[in-house]
Amino acid sequence: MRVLFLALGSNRRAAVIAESRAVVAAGGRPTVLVAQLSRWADEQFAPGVEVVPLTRYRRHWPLAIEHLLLFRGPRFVVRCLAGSGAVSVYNRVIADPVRRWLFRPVYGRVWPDGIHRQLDTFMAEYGWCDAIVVADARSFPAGRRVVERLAATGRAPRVAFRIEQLLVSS
Amino acid sequence: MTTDVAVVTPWYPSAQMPFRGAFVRAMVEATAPGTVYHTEVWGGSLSSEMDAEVSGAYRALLPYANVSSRTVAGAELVYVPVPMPRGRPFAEQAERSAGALAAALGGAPIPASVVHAHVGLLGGVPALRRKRADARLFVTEHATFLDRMLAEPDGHAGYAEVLAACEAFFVVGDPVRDQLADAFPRFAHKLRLIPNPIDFDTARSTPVTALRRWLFVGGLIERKGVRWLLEAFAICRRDDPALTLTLFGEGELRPDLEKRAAELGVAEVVTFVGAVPPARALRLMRRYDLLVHPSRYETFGVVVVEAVAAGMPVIVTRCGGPEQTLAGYESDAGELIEVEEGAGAIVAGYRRLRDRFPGGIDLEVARRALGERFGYQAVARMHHDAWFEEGHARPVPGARQ
Repeated sequence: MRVLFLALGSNRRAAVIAESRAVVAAGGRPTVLVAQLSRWADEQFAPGVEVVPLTRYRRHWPLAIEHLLLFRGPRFVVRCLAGSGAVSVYNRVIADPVRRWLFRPVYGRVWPDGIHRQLDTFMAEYGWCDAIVVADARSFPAGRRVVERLAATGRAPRVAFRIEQLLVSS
Repeated sequence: MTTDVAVVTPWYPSAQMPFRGAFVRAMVEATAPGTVYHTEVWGGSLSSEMDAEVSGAYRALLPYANVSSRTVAGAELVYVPVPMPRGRPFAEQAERSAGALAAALGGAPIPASVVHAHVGLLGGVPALRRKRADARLFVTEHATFLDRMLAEPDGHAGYAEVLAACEAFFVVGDPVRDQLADAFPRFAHKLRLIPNPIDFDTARSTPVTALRRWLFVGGLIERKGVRWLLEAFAICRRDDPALTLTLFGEGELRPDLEKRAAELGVAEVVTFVGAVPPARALRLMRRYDLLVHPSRYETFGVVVVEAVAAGMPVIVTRCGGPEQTLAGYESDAGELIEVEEGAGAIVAGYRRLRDRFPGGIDLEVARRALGERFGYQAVARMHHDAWFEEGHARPVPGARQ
């Protein structure tokens, strides 16, 4: 059984570690999709668990430019001029509002699917799975995207929020 | 199994939090309800737009999802995540849990004539919102943060709504009952004491012969008084270098405690085991001689009763619950001591117990008596008597006896 864990929020790590181990123990092949590997650096996955960071896939170019111009560059300048404490103020007062109220609405209208490009590239490479486990709150939109796209091919995977729900019924 | 009974709880052991709600699972094992609805808050750093997107995606996924599995006593376990931004008020958590439960049920009510909620607000509100109009509602409160919930105006109002609707509201100790009776005097008549069920089936193979292997079980947090335990242990060990101390549990104080153990020169005989699943902790308890439980406040103090069930004497503070649970058998079970900001009470309690041990203590008498109060059969009987009293009686096969 191929099981895809969506763990993009990275805040229910203990569950993901234990449940992916349970899939291996049951003879399955688990893949854990995470936002970035650094949040998981202290965790020990069971042998046989494949961990894939979404950062492995290239962001849509407007998002990459947004990140550079709105976050990475200004943060570096703010940190040099006013110290690291000022970075969170910059994020709250300037970067986040600009992203939320200006950039993302325009971007969403021009490229409705652009925000999903990394996930779509991953899925194109990963292929079909028997089941997905949505492991944290941030992963629900990705779960919806994956299921709806696979369902459109006539082969919707099963969905669960804890692994027992799959292992009991498999 | 009593298929006509459903349990709604925000706490139940899971891979993420294996210890949270172990007492709810024990209650399920004792009473064998048909279905357990576990609504668990999944907090995240979510903006309002992201929150809306997550909620929409969650509802879109539910038709594809299998939310059902099995738990103890053959009960069905329906697991319902409740995605929401972190740090929201308790009342909002409760209402969102009700909304998530409604979505998981496809808008239908809970198909049971008895609905038993755990945790007054976080379980009570979803149970109240989703029960059938003719279903009878019962609630058990365990929360140690009741004061914070009631301090929120919406939390207070939600609590009052649950109290008004339920047939009986169970609490696991007098401190919680007093707190609720003060806050809601017009519902005081609904408040009833009920213990958490404890496993008394497994006896200790060899009795305790000396009080040398100390054990602490609980979170390494200030409320548990664990700093004073370490200080007291170091003092007592000067009298008897054979003493050891083992701590089951994790918490924010662990680095400080490890450092302090080194400063006190006892690091080699103090063992920090870390988090231990409840079932394993119960088995391991039988390897130790004395449970020391210096908590500042407990609604029940389940670990104290578990220690007696494991045939181990206890030194425990009068911190609310334990003096109720041990009532009448305090000296048979060990020593009750005062809550003090210092190590003196623990040291004195240990010395008194050591000086009279094994005389003046009768663990078997205490074990038998507590078994009649808190054993699975006793607790199951209390629940069934409440659920099916006054013309609602029905046979209850399948519960663990």
